[in-house]
Amino acid sequence: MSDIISWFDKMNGRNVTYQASHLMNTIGTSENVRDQVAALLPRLRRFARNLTRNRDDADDVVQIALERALSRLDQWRRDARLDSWMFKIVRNVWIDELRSRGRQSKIFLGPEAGENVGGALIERESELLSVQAAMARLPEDQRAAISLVLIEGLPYKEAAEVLEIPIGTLTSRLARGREVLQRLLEPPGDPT
Amino acid sequence: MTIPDETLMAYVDGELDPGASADMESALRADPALRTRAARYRDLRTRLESAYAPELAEPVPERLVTVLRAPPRAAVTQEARARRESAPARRKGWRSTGVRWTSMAAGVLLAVAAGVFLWRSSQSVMIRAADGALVASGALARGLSEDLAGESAPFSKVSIGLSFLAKSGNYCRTFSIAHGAEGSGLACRRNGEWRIGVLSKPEGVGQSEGSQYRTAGSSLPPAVLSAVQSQISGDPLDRAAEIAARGRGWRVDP
Repeated sequence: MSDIISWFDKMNGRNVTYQASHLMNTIGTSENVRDQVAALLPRLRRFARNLTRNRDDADDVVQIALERALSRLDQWRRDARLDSWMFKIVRNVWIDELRSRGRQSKIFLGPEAGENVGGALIERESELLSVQAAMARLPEDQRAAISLVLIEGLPYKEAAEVLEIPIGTLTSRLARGREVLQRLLEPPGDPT
Repeated sequence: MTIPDETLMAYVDGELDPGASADMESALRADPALRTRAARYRDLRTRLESAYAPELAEPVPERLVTVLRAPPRAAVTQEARARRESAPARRKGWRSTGVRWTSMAAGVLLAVAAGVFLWRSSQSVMIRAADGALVASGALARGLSEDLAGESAPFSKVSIGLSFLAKSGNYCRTFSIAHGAEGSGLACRRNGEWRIGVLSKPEGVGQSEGSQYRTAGSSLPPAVLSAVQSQISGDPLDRAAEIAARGRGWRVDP
């Protein structure tokens, strides 16, 4: 992180091109993967919230995923994207948790679904709620696909690897998920 | 010719190869109905991005940061312990500390609300909400549109860290607000507005060590850095590119 911060310092001194390539190298090869993971935390929490639909569960999942990642850092290939690798661990932790909860998961997810709102930041909360409430109504597989590609911005290939599915499966989940969201979010009778 | 939904989505998501993408563009030019379909996909994507952007600005709970600071062996032990504890009564074990976390979550929300309050109360409103997104206004909007990175106007509260072209095809700029209502964020140009994707208050950054001497860029919090890293396409703009982009009103299309 200190490298990146010093890069921003220099940015203000307009040493742009060199420092940019330096940043890219830093991201790829720095010893300090922990700092890079720390920088991913907001996105990991957001992804986990979309999976679990519950803020507390999401942070629990992220915490276990961090511990798991740290114990397996040697398994991360330097040429792989760190964010994809972490998203995958987050998802696997959640799958393990669901398995161990078994049928209880339904009891858990029901009432709290869709409450994971950015909250006080927004004046027009109703608008935001509707987007997130609509997401919460998606089937789990579509929600994960939409979340990775449309919200976290992963390329299809990366998202398919995180979810361990073929790209064709990913695109059909994206298509179905988008259809549902559009139906839920667009006013009825929208001429399209 | 009917273009399948999945192909059109792949185009909107930037997943078609250059040849297919060019074909799609000529098909779009020729077919208004297709343009409408593409616009719907794009709108949905934008809407999701803006609705979820504020979550990136929330402070990360200390317990997560602590995990990353722990020595490697302790981390392994922690997970092992978590497994042991939760094995006999998984659900109970998982939730037993829920009260603590819930109150922590409330604290986080309060902190975010307080941060926004500070921003709002700082002389002029710099941020407003519109269509579920945060949009820069007042001095912040002016700074984003007019200032060059690292060269804010005299007495300006706003300074620009860097500018870049995002993968989404829009110009984005990091900014910091100094003096009184401190904070940093990332704003991207969309439909003639600066939409704020990430908004973060520096958490105790240098508070005890003279934060007023820090440069605008150096106090960019991890949430902003992370957003830049995930969104940047190529290198940041240099001064000439910034001036050119400003001259076009930060529109990408000629």
